[in-house]
Amino acid sequence: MKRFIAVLSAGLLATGVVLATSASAQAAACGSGNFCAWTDANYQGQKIEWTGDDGWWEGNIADQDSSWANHGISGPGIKDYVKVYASAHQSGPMTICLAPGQEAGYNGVANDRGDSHIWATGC
Amino acid sequence: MRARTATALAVLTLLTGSACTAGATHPAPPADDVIKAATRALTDDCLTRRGLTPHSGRQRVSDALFGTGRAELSLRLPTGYVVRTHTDGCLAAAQRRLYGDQDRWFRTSVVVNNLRPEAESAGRPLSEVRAAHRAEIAEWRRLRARALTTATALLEGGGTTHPKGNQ
Repeated sequence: MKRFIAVLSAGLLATGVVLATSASAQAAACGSGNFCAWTDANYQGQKIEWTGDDGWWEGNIADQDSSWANHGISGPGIKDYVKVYASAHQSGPMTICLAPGQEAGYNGVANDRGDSHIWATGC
Repeated sequence: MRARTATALAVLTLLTGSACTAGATHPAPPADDVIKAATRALTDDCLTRRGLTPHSGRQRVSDALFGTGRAELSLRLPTGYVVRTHTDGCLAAAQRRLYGDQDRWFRTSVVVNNLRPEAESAGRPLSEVRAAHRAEIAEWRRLRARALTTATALLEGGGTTHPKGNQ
């Protein structure tokens, strides 16, 4: 049982990025333990999938983010919330804070602004 | 006592132990950690009842944990973002158990979690935005208190199995 928890938690402790193309029409296809951002609305287009923090998003997603999903795993002391910032290195305005299990599909006003994100124990 | 609940309790014991001083009585662990430990215990039991193992694949675990299809709950923030969540996953079931009302917790916590983005977006002081949302903040505290009570009882009693259904 502990092994199960350890495996689920491992994603939050490691740092990594996965690039993929989303084919989902509705659900946000984002692995457990990860934060995902897509270049198009409603979890479409190119997907960037992070297991850790990223202080400077790559050019293929920076200021091109249109939908987001936090699939972090909760646990005591675990950073499972995601804060997205409009500037690199978690500076500038915070555009959104997502709790585990929360997604944001698209909005014309709130679009193409993200440059960095950080995992936190709360918002 | 179920193994996962025991694990959650062990984590809480460690947290409590690290926070106490020599010779003093053990302080209560942070409320946030108690609720998160209970959430973990509930969701892990739910995943096991759905037949998932560490080898099931991250997307299968993600679908079971966070839900599938179109997200049922939705809230538009003053910043323009529309935040959504599902009601069919193990996490949703855990939130219903702990907070009593997943919909209300979702709507309240999304607003409270995004007070700073709202203030920065509108160019207003955070204190002013907090004052404007004092009803939501009060509700957030009430729901958190309920969750803490439920989580504490659940972890102390070791009963994470939902009395109805398999969520």
